[in-house]
Amino acid sequence: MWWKIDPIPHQELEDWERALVRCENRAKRDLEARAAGVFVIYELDGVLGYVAGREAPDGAYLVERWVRKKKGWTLYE
Amino acid sequence: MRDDDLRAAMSFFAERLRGADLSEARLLRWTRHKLRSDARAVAELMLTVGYRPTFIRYFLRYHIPEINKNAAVGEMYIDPGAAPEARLGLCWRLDEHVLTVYTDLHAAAKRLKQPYRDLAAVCLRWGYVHETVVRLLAKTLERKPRNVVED
Repeated sequence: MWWKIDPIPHQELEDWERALVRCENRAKRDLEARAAGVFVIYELDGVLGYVAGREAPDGAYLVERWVRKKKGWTLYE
Repeated sequence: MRDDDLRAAMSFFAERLRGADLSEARLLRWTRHKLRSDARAVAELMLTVGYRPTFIRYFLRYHIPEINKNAAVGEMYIDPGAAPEARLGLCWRLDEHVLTVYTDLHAAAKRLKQPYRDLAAVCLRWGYVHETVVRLLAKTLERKPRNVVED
C-alpha cells in the first residue's frame, strides 16, 4: 500500500513555539513560581500551561522544567 | 526513549517541516510535542519508519484514550474486528492513517498467545502501556513498514 505524507506547515511550529515562550515568560514573572524556585511548563489537551513546583498536573505531560538560579532561570528539560 | 528511535522520529518531523531552520534542541522539543499530541503524526511515523515499541507506547498512552474519549456513547468499544455497523461511527471520525495503525494494532493483538491476547485487548481499550504487550505487538508488526509517497 502507498501512503502520502503531507508536510507540516511552518506556521504550526511557530504558533506552538510562540505559545511556549509566552507561557515561559508568564511563569518567570509569577510570584508563586519565583518563591518555589522551580516551575514546569506542561501540555494538557493541546493547551500549554505552567505550574510552580517540579511536577506537571495529573494527565498532563511535562514540556519543560525551569529552575531558578542566582542570575535567572535555567532550563533543565 | 531509545536514541535511535528518537533520531528516527526527529528525522521524520524535520523532513515534514520542509525548509524550516531548526536547531537540534528545537527539533527535539517539537518532536516530543508531536509524539504526544498528534495521533495522525504518530500514525504516519509508524507507517513510515515501522511499528517500533517506543512509538507504539506513545500511541497507546496518549492517543488511544483520546480516540476512545472522542467516540460517541455506544461506540466506545472500537474493535476493528467487530461488525462493520458497530465501528462505522468511529471510522468516520478517524483519520485514515490513524485508523490503519489502530486496525493493525488490533490485528496484532489478536495474534498474541494468552494471556497476552486478553492483556493487549485491555491495553488497546484503555490506553494502558504494558511493556511486554508493547514488545510483543512490535515484534508481530515488525514487518509492517509501508512505502510512503512524499509530496
